[in-house]
Amino acid sequence: MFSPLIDELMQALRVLPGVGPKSAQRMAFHLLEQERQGALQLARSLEKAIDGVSYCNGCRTFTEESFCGICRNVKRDGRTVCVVESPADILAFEQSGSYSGHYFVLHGHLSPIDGIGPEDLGIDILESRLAQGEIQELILATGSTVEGEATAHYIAELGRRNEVTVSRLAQGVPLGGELEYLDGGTLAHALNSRRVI
Amino acid sequence: MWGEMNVLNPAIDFQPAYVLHTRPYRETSLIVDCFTANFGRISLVAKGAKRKKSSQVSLLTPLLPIHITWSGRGELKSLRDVEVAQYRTVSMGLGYYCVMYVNELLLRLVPKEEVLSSLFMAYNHFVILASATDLASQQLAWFTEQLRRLEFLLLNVLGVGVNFHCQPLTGISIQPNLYYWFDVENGFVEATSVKTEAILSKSASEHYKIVQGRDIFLGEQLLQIGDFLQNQNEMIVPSKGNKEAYLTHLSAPARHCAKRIAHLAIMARLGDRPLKSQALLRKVWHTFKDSS
Ligand SMILES: [Zn+2]
Repeated sequence: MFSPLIDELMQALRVLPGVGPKSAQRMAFHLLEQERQGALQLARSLEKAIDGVSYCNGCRTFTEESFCGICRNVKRDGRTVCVVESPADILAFEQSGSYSGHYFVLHGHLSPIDGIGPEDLGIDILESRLAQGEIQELILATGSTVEGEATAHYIAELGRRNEVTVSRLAQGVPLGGELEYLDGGTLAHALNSRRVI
Repeated sequence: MWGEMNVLNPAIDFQPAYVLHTRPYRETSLIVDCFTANFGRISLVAKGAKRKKSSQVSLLTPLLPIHITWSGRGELKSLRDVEVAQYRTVSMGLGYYCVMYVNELLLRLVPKEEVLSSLFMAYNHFVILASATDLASQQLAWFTEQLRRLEFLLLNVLGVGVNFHCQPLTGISIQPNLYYWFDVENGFVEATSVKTEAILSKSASEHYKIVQGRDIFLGEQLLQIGDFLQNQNEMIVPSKGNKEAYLTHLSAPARHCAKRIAHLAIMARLGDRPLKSQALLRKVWHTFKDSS
């Protein structure tokens, strides 16, 4: 409809969540008309981030270093590991200010029918770390969906086999609730009242 | 649980159902595959289900008995309402993965909008069993039998059931002391031309053997499986403390054979595309089976 370059830009913008054809058109024109400098900056940032960012070797969160800031922080206690579904969950815990251990990011949950198994979530990495004995407590903070519960149950079993204390965020997390939407106070409460499973 | 009236009166609202699977659809919606008591397997769109952080999305989950209301006559219906039929605490151990395996089987094998009430009832029963039991090691064999029962019922309602009492080609009964070839097309056929005793000794750890690319079984196991499948009195939910309720009905060799035959019959229906949930089920089975 427009020139090939503009069409290409609009098509590219549609990878963003919530962006349909209309929004893509609006964004493209906005960038071309009013934000040429910002658009260039965006393009460079995107390229640098995609090239540079991968998973932390410790916790699998996004980072461009081999280990993220939390994993490198010597003041934090690596014997306690909190297992979460997404990097956004780490942010929620950090804002609650009541956790000083390490994390492990699954980037999803077990989903049998979609063919997503333990290896796809790095659980094999976590398992070998449990076997090495450096972890003493696992806090399972996967979502309270059926899939999140099943994932927690599976990791809990691995923890028990390696004689690691396993607890699950319990009270304060509503059914079907997702961590990143909870406020710090609720999360701090959930963290303090976690139960061993 | 669902009232009798709802099961018998196939209105389009508040239908007893289970969610088999959900997947994202467009930005904020879900496509929900359901198994219903009165309308068979159907696909629905739950519009805006992801946006609303609503209670709706948390009810659209496997293992939970629900009532659903929908509209639309096309292949993709619109979900109007969903309610819990009964809250249930669910064990997230092996039972969960077995239900997911069965869900994928239903998604792959059961045609849409074919009313299969007997299968629905059996499925409901199986989900209750899977949710209620921790599947500690002493219950595993018992649970395996329940899974086999559901698999063979599924094959029956699909019109490709296995006859464990007679040979379909000749109509001759299966004898306990004779050996039988099995293939999916012909069922069991007596193995007359092979010296089977040499191949399959009773003391061997193998309870069936693949000879020249075909499976061979002893009649004794087949009859045992056939009798077990005919006996429907076992459709009760054991109470947790009652150990006797978990008594098995098949000998270990028969259980082993039943698994192989179910596998062969199901694989023939699935074709080239294997089940995704099966690899995970196998892995989880090994992880959980040693725990008590
Ligand atoms: Zn890290």
